[in-house]
Amino acid sequence: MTAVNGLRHGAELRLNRITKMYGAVAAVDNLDLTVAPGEFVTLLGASGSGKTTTLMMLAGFTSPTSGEINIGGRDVTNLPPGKRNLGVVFQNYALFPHLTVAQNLAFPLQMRGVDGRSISTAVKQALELVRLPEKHGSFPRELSGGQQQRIALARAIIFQPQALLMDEPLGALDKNLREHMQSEIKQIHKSLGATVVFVTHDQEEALTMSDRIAVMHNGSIAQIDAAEAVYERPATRWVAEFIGQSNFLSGQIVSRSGESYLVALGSGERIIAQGPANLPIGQQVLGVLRPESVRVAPQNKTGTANRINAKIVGVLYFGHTIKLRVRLGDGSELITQATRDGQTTIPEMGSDLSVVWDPTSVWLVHASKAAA
Amino acid sequence: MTGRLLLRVGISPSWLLLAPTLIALTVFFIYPLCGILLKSFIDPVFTWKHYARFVHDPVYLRVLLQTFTIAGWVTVATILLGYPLAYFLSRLKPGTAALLMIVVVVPYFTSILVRTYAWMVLLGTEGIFNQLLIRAGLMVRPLQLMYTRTSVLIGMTYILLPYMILALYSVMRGIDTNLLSAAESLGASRIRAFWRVFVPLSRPGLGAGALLVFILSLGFFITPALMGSEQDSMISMLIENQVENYFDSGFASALSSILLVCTLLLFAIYGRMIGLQNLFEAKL
Repeated sequence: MTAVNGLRHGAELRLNRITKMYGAVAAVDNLDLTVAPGEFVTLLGASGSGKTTTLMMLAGFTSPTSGEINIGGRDVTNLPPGKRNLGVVFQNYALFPHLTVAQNLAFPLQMRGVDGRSISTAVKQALELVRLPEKHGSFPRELSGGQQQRIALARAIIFQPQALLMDEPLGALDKNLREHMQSEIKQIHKSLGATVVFVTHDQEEALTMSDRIAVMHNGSIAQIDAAEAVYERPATRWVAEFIGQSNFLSGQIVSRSGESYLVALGSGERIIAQGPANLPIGQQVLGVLRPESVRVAPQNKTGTANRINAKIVGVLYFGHTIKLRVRLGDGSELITQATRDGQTTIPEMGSDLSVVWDPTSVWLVHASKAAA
Repeated sequence: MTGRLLLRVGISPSWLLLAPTLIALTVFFIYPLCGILLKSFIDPVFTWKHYARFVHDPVYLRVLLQTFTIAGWVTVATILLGYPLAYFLSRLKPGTAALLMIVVVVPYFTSILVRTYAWMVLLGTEGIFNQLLIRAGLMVRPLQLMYTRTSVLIGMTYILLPYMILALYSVMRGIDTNLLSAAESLGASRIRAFWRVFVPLSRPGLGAGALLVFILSLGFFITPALMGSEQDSMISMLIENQVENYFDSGFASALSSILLVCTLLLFAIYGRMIGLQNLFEAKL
């Protein structure tokens, strides 16, 4: 009776100074990560960023070169995967092709010596949870991709694991199905209160699903934060470039009040921007400005802050939005993105206008690429 | 022109591609086979006497049984030796695996006669094995290794092993390693994951390899003839004996027909249990 409901108390996961070397290359480099009980954390990164290696070390398929892995307060660094009590969903689902759906679901329970009657009850509940009770006797090859995905999910939670690890589980599905499965996974996460570590290279997926996103780069975490923080307050230039589209305004800090800074741009214009509290006066910075925060306005002389004259050098029409490429006085270019709301006429190439943005929508990062 | 004609009588031109093989098979295989079957029944008029002789003289049944026993042991031995090796090869990187596969297959290209003689040299009274045993002081007199059931089994196993390895390897290569990882993450130990997931998935290869080795063993001649004794006669040696020494082609034909029927029967059983399509393609 308890089997499927069991994940309710997801465990805490903790990686302490984990390093994984492959020859002289560090796939994961001195990484610290703590996932709170019941939290949904996404490891987001390009291929080779170390996200999958990190997950595989958590699961126990790869052992770290150094560091400690802690699950639910227990050191599991040297424990084989089968003893860690974690549900793993693989990219290609890894359903056993020679077993039926029911036998696949029963497998982890059999491994734990659960008696036959409890197993069939748990299998039934699990199939109801993923809304596929009629697929009981089917073989995996008879299921669609989405159905296989749901069975793989059911198999990973049926034995009440301490946490759920998912390695690009939606990568093989088409766009519509993927969106559907995203909400389904979220719903199961919420109803079970499971601790989830989810690996993906799809930033949209990461932004919609996660409590927190760990943006991975070169084997370490470039930033770990809630979705809106990662997007709106990127920690480094790299994060800003990786997630979404960004304009970068290069400049130097002139003065500061709290988290508000006055920045002198290369062109001589002064703008107001937000930034982390620790930027010193005189620091070379980049202002991250998302295209959708930039509006265009007719040129006039009203002296609002963050208003710069520009010329349109490119118009990209996307149907629901328009993107404009504009050139500023000093030759640098910005991308703006505006929603088409019917009245807006499409601006003409070469026309002169102003670009305007809200002072709160510029976020400062260190100018150097390397700086954290 | 011809094409149009063929189409009119309902034959696709692509069937023409099969023609050379079909003609060759008919002339050199089906026709003589029918000849053998006929000969076993007609001597010079229709008769059951050859089959009656086979059934009534216990010697022949004993040889048939012995043939099956030897074939069975060879199959078991090739599985025991081939399975771990094929597993090992299938888990290697493709490049390394291909290289080692060549090592497995090269003996396959060498004449069976040469390989059989090689074993005779190794196992003979003056052979390396006996020399080693005597030098090491484990034996005073050389062991009788040659011309025993054991020497036949060793020789045949050695020669048929590549078939088993190839059949197993082609199926094992297709087994996704993630499935074993999945089994482990679900609570199985390495060994249990292997038994519950890998072994069942390798079964088509095991079936194909076993069938291949068993059937080839049933009709094996050179190795048992050279390495075995009269007591370990196999049916092929009996057939040869009837032709060479007794000029009794009628009885030889009957023995051949019996061997053929046994082989076809095995195919049928295999087809029922596992399915013949698995024999010719690696699944997954």
